[in-house]
Parts: sequence; structure tokens; C-alpha cells
Amino acid sequence: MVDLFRGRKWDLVHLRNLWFAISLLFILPGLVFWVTRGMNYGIDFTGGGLITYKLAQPISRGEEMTALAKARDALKKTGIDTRVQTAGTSAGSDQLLVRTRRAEHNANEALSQQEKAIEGALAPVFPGIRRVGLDMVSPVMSRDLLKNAVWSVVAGMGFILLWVWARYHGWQWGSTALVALTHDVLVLIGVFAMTYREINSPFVAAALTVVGFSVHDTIIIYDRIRENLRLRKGSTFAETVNTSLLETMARSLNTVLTVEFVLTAMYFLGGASLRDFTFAMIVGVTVGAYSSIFNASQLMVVLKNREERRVAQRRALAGRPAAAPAARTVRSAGERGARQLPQAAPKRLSVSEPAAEAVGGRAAADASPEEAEAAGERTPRDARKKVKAARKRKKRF
Amino acid sequence: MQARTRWWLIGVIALVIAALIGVLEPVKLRDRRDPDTGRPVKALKQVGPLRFYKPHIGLTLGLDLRGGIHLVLQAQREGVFEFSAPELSEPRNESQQAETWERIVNLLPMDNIGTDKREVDLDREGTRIRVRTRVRDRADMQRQGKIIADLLTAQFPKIETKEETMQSVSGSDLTSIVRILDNRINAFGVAEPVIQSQLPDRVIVELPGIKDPEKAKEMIKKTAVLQFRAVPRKYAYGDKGPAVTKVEGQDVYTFADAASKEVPTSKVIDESPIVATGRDLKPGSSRVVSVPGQPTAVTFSLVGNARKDFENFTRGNVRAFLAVVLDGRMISCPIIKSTIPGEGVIEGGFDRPGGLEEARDLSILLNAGALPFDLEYVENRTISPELGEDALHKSLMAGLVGMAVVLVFMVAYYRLPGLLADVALVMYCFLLMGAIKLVNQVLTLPGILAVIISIGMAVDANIIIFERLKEEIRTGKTLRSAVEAAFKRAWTAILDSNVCSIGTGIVLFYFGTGPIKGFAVALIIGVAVSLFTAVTVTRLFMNMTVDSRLAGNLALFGVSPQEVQE
Repeated sequence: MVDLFRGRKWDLVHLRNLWFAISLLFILPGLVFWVTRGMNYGIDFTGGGLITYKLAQPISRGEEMTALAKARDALKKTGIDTRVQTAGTSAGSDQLLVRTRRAEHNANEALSQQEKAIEGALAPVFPGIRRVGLDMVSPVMSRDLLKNAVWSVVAGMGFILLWVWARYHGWQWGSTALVALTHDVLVLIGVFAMTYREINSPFVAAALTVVGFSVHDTIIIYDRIRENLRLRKGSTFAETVNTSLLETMARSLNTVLTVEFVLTAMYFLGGASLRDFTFAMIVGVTVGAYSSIFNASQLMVVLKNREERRVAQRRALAGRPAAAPAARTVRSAGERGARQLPQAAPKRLSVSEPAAEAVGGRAAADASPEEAEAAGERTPRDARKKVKAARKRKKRF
Repeated sequence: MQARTRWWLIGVIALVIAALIGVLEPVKLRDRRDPDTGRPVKALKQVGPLRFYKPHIGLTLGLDLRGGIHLVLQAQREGVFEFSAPELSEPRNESQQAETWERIVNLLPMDNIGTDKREVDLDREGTRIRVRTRVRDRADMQRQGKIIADLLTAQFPKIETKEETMQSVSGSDLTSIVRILDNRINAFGVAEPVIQSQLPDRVIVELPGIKDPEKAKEMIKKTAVLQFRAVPRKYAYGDKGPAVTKVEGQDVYTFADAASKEVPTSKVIDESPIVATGRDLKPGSSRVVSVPGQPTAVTFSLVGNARKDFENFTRGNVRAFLAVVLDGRMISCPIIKSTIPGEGVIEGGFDRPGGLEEARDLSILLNAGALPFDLEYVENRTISPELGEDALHKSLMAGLVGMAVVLVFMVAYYRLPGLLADVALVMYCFLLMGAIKLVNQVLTLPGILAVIISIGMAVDANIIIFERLKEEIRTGKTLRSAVEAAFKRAWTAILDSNVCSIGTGIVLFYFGTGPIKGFAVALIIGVAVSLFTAVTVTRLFMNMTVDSRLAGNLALFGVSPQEVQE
């Protein structure tokens, strides 16, 4: 098979505002639906009852509306506040789902009484109906489940933020990864708002799994950006990012593809009960790939550019030449102590000058990062560590 | 092949075989039992201590696949509010007292307070009012306390709030609830029930494959308050006992007063003072004793101060009747035959047909009566096995199809390394099942989904490595050093991304409930095992190829020779 992305010279970074606009285009309509129509929360989060009936004869797609209308009529006579829905395969529905509103107290007893009335009402309309599932979540429980759901998403994303931050020695890496993940979750929620699919505990599990998986792609790209920064591929940060994106494109897409294969198989063949879960995963994984390539890395460029500009301004104010050789400042950092460092530090990180000079010409293209590291103190990484330490010290003063 | 590589290979193959034996259980030392019926399965062949069986997948299926009920019970929290009411302090007789009590009760409608249970107590002097209500949480209690205070102040302006406390179960109470539930559930003979406490005040009960969920649910929750009450002599004493009739399979006791007029049982219960409660019973101490030639008896024993009190009471009340009341229903009313020093038996009436059953029921209820708190179902999921079976077959099918596509894709895109990754992926499936079996994780439907998703994710590491390998080969390295470098350089990205997946998995496990926990565990195990197969096992295979003749043909690695830089 050919490598589709090898040797391409696309400038992905240049178009970053377009990518951000596309993201907004996906997020905003969903949010509008969320605000105007609201979400289809499952009983996990609202409390209430869900009774699943199996029909003796499946209803074909065309007859669904009339069947539902009949069911609603029958249920209206019981005086119980219910919502009815069908479920099944694309060929036809063989399940009838009846939701009841939550009872504030003794929800279980309330439901078992209602259940009898509901079954009594439905039996004449759908002969041979059988109850196959009965779910009840009390309001107390649903409040806890909702709280846990929110906390789990916060904790999961917080963990990733801290991990990436720690591993990449910079808040920019962690926070841009986090923004990309938030983007994925927002799109996911938006799609569920638009399609009015149910938001329940499995949805939250799917969202978290998506978060955990979507960051894979981001890390693949970041890992390459970091490496290319050391190897000095591309002369500006933006160029380095662009090169890295193109180099990793094949693996970014392939890792997502293999997961999509199994998910698609699951969606079409796996039966009704997990279809929403699988749908959420498919949407999330796809969006996750997009956000890794077109949001996270592009945001890194935005952040770095801004930092560069700020540093330049500060320099101008301080009356220093803006284009002071980075190499010299970094080197002096180690020798002259921490006090002078703060001005130098961001400049080093922005890598707008070839970093090669910073490491004394060591970072020739063939030198691997490990070798460069072995070369001793004057590698970018060591310098960065010192810069960080110096920054910390500065904060304390 | 190097000696090290060979040992690694042997180790990996042994691991896969061990996993297969663990999962399929074709050989066992002890009898294999049918998970549903619990009966031993017949061995195909026996050689010494080894028994050979027909292989089957020995993973425990979760409720959603086998059918059953998942229940979450919550011990009810109560808010206790005490008020001092100086207006009520004038002396009064009993009827006045009752009148005041009624007035206060009428002042506090449950709907206004927003609760479904409230009790009002007035002390003898009538200066203190104590209200107990069911509350959801602390905030709810404060809200209710304010409403109650407002309602009372409207009538009694000088009223003052003295105390406001929330009563809930302690950790040890919860443990005893779990033990009691366990005891009781075992009594109906459910195979592999799960009873777990969930702090602070919840218990999760899972009953797989149960036939009559309604009955089970009723039995589990039924007992909240067990009391031993002394029936006043005017209703029953000596030879004059209650009449027993059977209504819908339950004993109903009826009493008559001195004028032989029938008295409602509830009135009798109300007038009988409490001698001991379920809390005084030793949990699990009640047993059925059935010895030929002697009447069948149900034993019970008391703990703590109640032993002494009970002994004193029974000494003074021989020939009186003791009512055993459970949730306001009299379940037994034996005559006191002798002084009972803390350990007693209830006998008689159990020797008629069906009596043994009754004795067993009584003993279960007595044991359960030690349940100290009201329990309420906060979550209840009843799943019929047919939904689960259907879902299981469909997901397995989907999993196989998905895996086949992944296998084909890997070979098509990555050639020889892809093929090796495929072998590792198949091994991964076996190892994953073995690992799930090893940690004794119940396989739920979301768990199966996690396994299937993890098949898609397991090759991720391979993709990262192989893409890197192509790049390394193109730089003109020898195949051996290219493989070396590819694994080494890809490792940081693989590690970071998998740590993130495991991290979110742990979060999910911590916050999730029921099937979601199953999903989380399967995902965590899947990611961990895939790290092993995708990195270690694939690397092993790659090292073997590097040494073989295949190494000469770069096209097998997806790189055309002209791409290679010199």
C-alpha cells in the first residue's frame, strides 16, 4: 500500500483559523440544540422507571408511528405519566420501551404498581407482549450518578492535563491537549443533542474512553514535535509543527482506523443495546483524530507565537536587541546564575532561532536525541530544565 | 536465533497456553461445576488427579448477559429535630396529652415538609417535641428543619430548636446489613449472588438468573423492624391463646378480649410493650432444629443487656404470650414456657405439613430482623436473560468481524511486520481472556465491548512502531538497527498514550457503577496486556525475522529500495 502522506508539502499550520472555524461549526449547532431543546437524559440522571417489553411480532418501520400512537392511547387511560419508544434493528422494532416519571419517595414500590397497570394497558394492544427488563433509579441515586459522571469526566481530563504537562515540561502542551479533549467532548455532546440520543452512564463511559483514546493521537504528534525541535527540522516553531504533522499523519489516521473498524462492526452487527454507546465512540474517536491534528497542535503554534511576540515586546521595552542570539543567553544561564534568566527563558522555548547554535552545533540531523542528551549539559533539554528551575526561583522572590 | 530470543519465545508461548487452559478449563484437578446449577460436570477422562473436560469458555458472565437483578439498597437517613415548647408545660392528663400530640401532628403535614415519613414524640412533661423525618442528605435535613421550625412557631411562638441531628448507618452497621442480606439471600439458593457494601450507606445486591425477581426483592427488603412484644394478659394468657388462621399462605393471629370480642391485631400490637428488638438479636443466630422424635424448633439468641432484661421479663411472665412482630405484622406468637436466659427456642406448630418451611422462614426472618435500619431501593435493574443472550451472540460476532478487518488491514498496510502484529494480536485475545479470568472479573456486555475496542487499540502501538520502522529503514540503517531504533523511539509516545488510557480507565472504575466498572476493568486489563503483546511480543518476532533470510527483502517491510537514503 502506498503512503498517502509521505512527501506531501501541505501547509496545515497556515490554515489554522480555518480548522478552528470548522470545529466551531461542529460545536455551536449542538450547543444551540442543547440550550433550546435540551438533552435526552436517561433515567440514570433523571431518576424514574424504564420498562422494556419484547413484542411477539416485530413492527416494521412504516407501522411504527401508528403502533406508538396506539400504545400512547392505551397508556393515557392508566393515568400514568409515561413516554414510549421503540427499539430494535434497522429492519423493524421488536422492543417497546416505556419510561415513567420519577417518584420522589419509595420509587421502587411506585414503579412496581405502575408496571402492572402499564402491562395491563399494553397487553390488549400488543398481544403476546413480554416484560424483559425493568429498571428503576431513584432520585437520590440519580443525583449521585450525575455527580459521579461529572466528576469522572473532570478527573479523567485533569489526569491527562497533569500527565502531559509533567511529561512535556510545559503547561502549553498539557493545556492544548486538554482543549482538544474538551473539544471532543463538546462535539460529542452536541451530536447527542442534535440526534436526541440518550445521555446516560454508558454515554459518560464512552466519553471518557474517547478522552483517553483521543489523547493518543495528540501524544503521537507532540512526541514528534518535541523530537523535531531537538533535531531542528523546520526553522520556526510553526514549520516544525507542520513537518511533524505530516510525518505522523499516517500513524495518526491508522491508529484511529483500526479502532473504527471494530467500532463499525460493533455498530452494525452488535445489537441494539450498545448501539448508542458505539455511536458515541465512533463520533468521539473521529473527532478526536481531527482535534489532535487540527486543534491541539495548531493551538500550540498560536501559544508559541503569542509568547514570542510578548517576549519581543518586553525586550524592546527593556532596550535590548530583540534578536539577541539565543545561544549566548542560554549558555550564560548556566554560568551566570538564575537572576538573568527570566528574559532568556521564553526566547529559548520559542525556538525561532535555530536551536543548533544553542547546543554548540551538536544537533546535526543525524544525531538522535539520546545522543544529543549524552553530549552533556548544553542540550536544549538541560537548558530547559535550568530555565524552569530559574523560573520557579523567580516566582518565589 | 539467539539464546535469549529463544527463551523469550518459549516463555510467551507457555504464557499463551496457560491462558488458554485457564480460560477453557479442559484440564482440572477438582470437579468442574456447572456455573448455573452448581452440579459437577462429568469428566471425559481421568488420569490420576487430572480430569479432562470438554473445553468451554469459563468466564463468569455478568447480570446483563445472564439475566437477573441488580439492586442498590440504601439505609434510610433520618433527621431528628428536638424543640422545647414552654407553652406546653402545664400539667395535663393523658387525653389532653394525646390531643396536643394530634394537634402537633396535624401542624406538620408530610407534603409540606417534603418527606414521606415523620414521627412526632411528645415527652411526659409535654415540654419537648421530637420530630423524626426521613431525609435525603444534610442539606435536605436543614431545609426540613427550617420548615418544621416555621410551622411550629406559627402555633407556638416561644418554641425553640434544641437539637438537629442526622442519623445514618455506621460502617459496622453496613457490614452487618451486608452479612444479614448475604445470609438471607443464601437462604433462597441463588447461585453466585453478589452483595457488596458501598460506603457510606448503600448495599449493592446482584442476583443472577433469578426466576421471580419480585418475590426476591420483597424478601430482601422486607425486614426492617423486628420486635418481641409482651401481649397483655387480657388478650392472651395461659390456655387462652390467639386463634391462628391462614390467609394467603401467611399466619394471621386473632385475639379476643375478656368479653370474647375480637380485637384487631394491630390494636393488640400497639398495646403490647416491647421486650426486645431485632437489634438485641445476635445476627445469624437463629436456626431450625429438627431432630426426630422432638418438635421442630427455631432457636434465637440475644446479645448485650437484652439477655438480662429478657431473662427477668420471662421469669415474671411464664404462660404469657410473646408476639414476634416484623414490620407491624405478627409473624409468630408463642407462649412463654419458662425463664429464657438469653437463648430461646420457638417450637410447636412446625410439625404439621409445610411446617418445616415455616420454621425456616421464621428463622430467616429472625436473623434478618437484626437488620437495624430501614432500607430502600434506590436502583433496581431487572434484566431478562434473553436480551443478554441475544446481545452476547451479536457482540461476539461483531467482535470477530471487526478483528478480521483489523487483521487484514495490518497485513495489507504493513506487510511482514503487520503479519507478525496479527499473530501477536491473536495471542493478545487469549492472554486478555486469561487475564480477565485471573482477576476473576465478571464479563458484562460493556466489558465485552471494551475487549472488542481494545482489539482495535492493541495494534496502535504496532502502527506507531512500524511507521517509525519505515522511517528508520529509509535513513539507510541496517534492518537490525532500524528495528532497534524504531522500538526505542516509539516507546515514549506509546507509554504516554497508554498511561492516559489506563488513567481514564481507573477514573471510570472509581466513579462507575455496575456494568461500567466491568467496562473499566476490561479496558484497563486490555491496555496493559496490549502493551505486552504489541511491544514485547512483536519485538520478539521482529528480532527473529531480522535474523532470518526475510530480512533482505525491504519490500516486505513496506519500503521500496529506492526510497532508502544512502
